Amino acid sequence: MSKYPWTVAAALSVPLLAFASSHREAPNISRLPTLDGTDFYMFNSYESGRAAYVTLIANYIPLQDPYGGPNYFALDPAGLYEIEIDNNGDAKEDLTFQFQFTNTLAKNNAGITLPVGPAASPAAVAVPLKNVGPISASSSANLNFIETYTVTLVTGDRRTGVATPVANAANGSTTFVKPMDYIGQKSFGSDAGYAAYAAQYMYTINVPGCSAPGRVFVGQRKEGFAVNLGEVFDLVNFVPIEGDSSPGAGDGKGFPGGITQNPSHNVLANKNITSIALELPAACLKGSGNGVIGGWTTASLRQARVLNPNATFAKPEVNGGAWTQVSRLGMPLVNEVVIGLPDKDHFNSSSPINDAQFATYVTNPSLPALLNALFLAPVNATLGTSIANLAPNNFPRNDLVAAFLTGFAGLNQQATVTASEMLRLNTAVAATPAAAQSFFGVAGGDLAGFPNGRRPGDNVVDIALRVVMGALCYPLPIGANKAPTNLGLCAPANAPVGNVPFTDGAPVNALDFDQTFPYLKTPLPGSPIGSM
Amino acid sequence: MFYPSVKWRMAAGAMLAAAVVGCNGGGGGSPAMTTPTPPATQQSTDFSSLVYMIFGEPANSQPVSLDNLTIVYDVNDDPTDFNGLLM
Repeated sequence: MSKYPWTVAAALSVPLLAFASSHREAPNISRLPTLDGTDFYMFNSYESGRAAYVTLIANYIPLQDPYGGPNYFALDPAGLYEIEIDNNGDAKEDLTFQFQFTNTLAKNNAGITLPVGPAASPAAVAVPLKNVGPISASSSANLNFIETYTVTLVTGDRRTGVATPVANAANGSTTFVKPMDYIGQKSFGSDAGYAAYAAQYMYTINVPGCSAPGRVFVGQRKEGFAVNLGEVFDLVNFVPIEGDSSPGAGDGKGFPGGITQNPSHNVLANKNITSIALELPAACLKGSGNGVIGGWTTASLRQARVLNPNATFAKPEVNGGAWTQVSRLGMPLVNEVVIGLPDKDHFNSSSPINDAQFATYVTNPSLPALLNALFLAPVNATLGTSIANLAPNNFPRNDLVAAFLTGFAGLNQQATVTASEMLRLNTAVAATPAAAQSFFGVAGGDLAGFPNGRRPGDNVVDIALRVVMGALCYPLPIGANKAPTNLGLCAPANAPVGNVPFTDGAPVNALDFDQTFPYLKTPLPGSPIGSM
Repeated sequence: MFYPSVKWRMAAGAMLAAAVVGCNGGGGGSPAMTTPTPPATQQSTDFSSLVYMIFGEPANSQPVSLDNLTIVYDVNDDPTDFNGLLM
């Protein structure tokens, strides 16, 4: 018998309802793409030699087409980007890493100019582009637009706590550079050229109160989330059940007409994203708790904005007032498909400590009912069954509620439990090397994976689909001997299709990513055509 | 103590779930059953005053709530002095 029986089973219920992560998930944030948090990863580092570290990656600016010139995808200098850590279970941040960005043009904000006109008296004319020639690891002289940022650690309440700057361990500077996006291969020479250019902006940092250094990188990366996005939101325009006998088997012996695993189903594969990545000693994050940390990311704007009727590069607007949160992301997919449309913007402005207000969305989730409406008749026709309702009927869905808001005893539950939505990671669970990771995470026998934190290669979509339709209502093969274990949360009679292998057909695994910080791969180039 | 007994874990999970539902007033966990909040007093302010009030708040203060706030916009009191808003 495994020592993790409840852990593994309960972990399956964490993902809740899922289709896409958090890309343009709410009406208001879709108006503010530079502040739109899309994915949040938090895991024990599996890079060789970094066993005592935790990696945190907050992705922003969804659906970036690599060719999105001439301005590409700078983060918002008016925004405040934050990664919050609760290490004592009170659902309030104990540590907050704040990132603020500054944009400048070359030549003291005048921009690079070219002499245009008669040779004897040319006019110095500013160019309209962000680079005027090749850029490399050895020279950024042709770069016309420079993004820099600061990192501040706030201990305690993020607005009233003690704020201390994070410094470059090499020289003590508190200003860091975000590399220019991957404009294309002509500008950077090659993918390797861009990788070398960007790599120089990965910094070793001294974190206040932390005896060992960490690392930080902010920059464009290849989108790592995999989802059959367009088909999903077109009323699930495919049969979301594995069509092979097992994922990738290619035998067509699964559910008749069901979707099979194919990378072409991942429509985000040709997109880039902007990552804010930290790697920090676990000892510096876990505080005085039991080693489990909760994490989430937010973005905020100052409450008031007045547009400058005579806008300039330096001052297109004036912002003032209190920081006002507009984006929030912890567990994947929550605001995307759990929270109802009237409350999505409210969720983005909320904090974990107040999450009880959203409980009904978990106890009585709407997505299973939607799937039932879409697929009840086809499923019965295909299987020759007379199932009355595909959705689980154990209300309230306490299996989902407990898992969603508390973490799991024995795995990723904090010593003090305050019901709240965040990603929870047990820093004491040894990381699994990339080659040995299961994309089903804990459900696949890999305790270092989702929902014990989240790694880039965890297939949170498929896990979640199965759970929301009632996987927890069936005995699960848990532990070393795979003994079927009844969780006692609900019964098979509660979930007619709880044992069906739901999937969106978009595969992902750890080997799709780098195995070193910041893990997400070099972004796709904006040119030449066909390179994306 | 990361790995307590199965029974304890299951009991804790059920209790927590019940607590979450219960804190929303039971009855299936409807947030509508939370302790009623007295209706806020309806406030009225002119747009110009509101803008200056919000701008005057420091970054780390609490955002000014716009709930129950009626904003009166007077075209003759338009805060068009952009430079005056520079903080």
